[in-house]
Amino acid sequence: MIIYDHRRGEVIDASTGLVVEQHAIDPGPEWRSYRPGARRCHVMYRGEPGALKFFKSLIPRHVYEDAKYIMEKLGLGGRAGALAAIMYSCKRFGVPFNQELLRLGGVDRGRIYRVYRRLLEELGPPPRIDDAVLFQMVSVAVRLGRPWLASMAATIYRRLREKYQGYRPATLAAVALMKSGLPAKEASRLLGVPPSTLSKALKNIGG
Amino acid sequence: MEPKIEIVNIVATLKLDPMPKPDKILERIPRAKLIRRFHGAMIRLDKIPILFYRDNIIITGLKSMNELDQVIKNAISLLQGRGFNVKIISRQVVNITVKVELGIELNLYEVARKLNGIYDPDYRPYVIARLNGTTLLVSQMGKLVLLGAKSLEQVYNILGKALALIT
Repeated sequence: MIIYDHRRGEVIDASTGLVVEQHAIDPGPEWRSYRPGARRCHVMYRGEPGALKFFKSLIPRHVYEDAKYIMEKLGLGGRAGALAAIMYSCKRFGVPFNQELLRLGGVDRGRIYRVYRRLLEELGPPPRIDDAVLFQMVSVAVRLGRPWLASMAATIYRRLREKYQGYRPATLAAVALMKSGLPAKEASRLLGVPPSTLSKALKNIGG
Repeated sequence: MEPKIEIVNIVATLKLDPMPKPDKILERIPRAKLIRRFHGAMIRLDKIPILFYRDNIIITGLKSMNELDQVIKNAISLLQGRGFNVKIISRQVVNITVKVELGIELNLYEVARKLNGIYDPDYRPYVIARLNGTTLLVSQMGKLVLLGAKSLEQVYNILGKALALIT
């Protein structure tokens, strides 16, 4: 598990303690103040973003660390900022985003996506858009005790992704799983795609 | 195939001297409607809504610049006919929305790379690119929407550059 220690400008492997990279960008100030009151200064002493702490136990450690780094780098705050940063980090690491977090956060989706758009503009699109959903397909297939479904569904998914780029990855993954032999109800439940969305997608894609 | 370009909407603002107050508009023009949310008044001239606010007038739903000239002329003559002695101080096109149909399928990953835009199908099913203060939306079916242009020259300049990169 890789952790960014942005204060020291290091990238560390959490399990072994090995410092992978030492010269990562250190966003902290180049000076230190020894005045007693200066510890309260925002730049000098920054704690964990409170809103992100709420989700700490619900997300993987590396996603948490990355989201924290993003929030501090862009000066994001609030639960909407935390959820947008988690969403972006999940995509960056190819980890499926748990939709339950949106419910727990109790923030309007529109607000989260407004912050998320800012992240996309500032940091660029996440490079591993499809990895999370491919991982999800494998985990679904393994959980059902039919691991061979995963490779078949992944092949179908890649073909569909090229042809139908307007669809959300989860919808295409559900269609791919269905085409590999999973019942529609199961596919929609396991991937969190509403049945109506799935049936519309199936109509357009055919089959 | 030639791209089909269509102006969907033009929004313009107008400043008059003196600015007619929305209350007076409602008093003197019976078909004017009150816009409660913004404390303004609205009248329709040939189905085109003209919104009167305290400090400016907004005209929307236009399809061409000629139509804009015509609507402004009609609005001024209507106001003068109802006892408002007004002159135009300034008029400004605020937003032009243009729709383009290319008639070819596009690869959105490539389009996003070439236009330096953002594409995340989980967020929006199209590429969003910012070009010279405007926003261009590109869908896979070859449909483009340009938002935020201020003049027709700007529209054609930006579309020319974008289409050269995309196709």
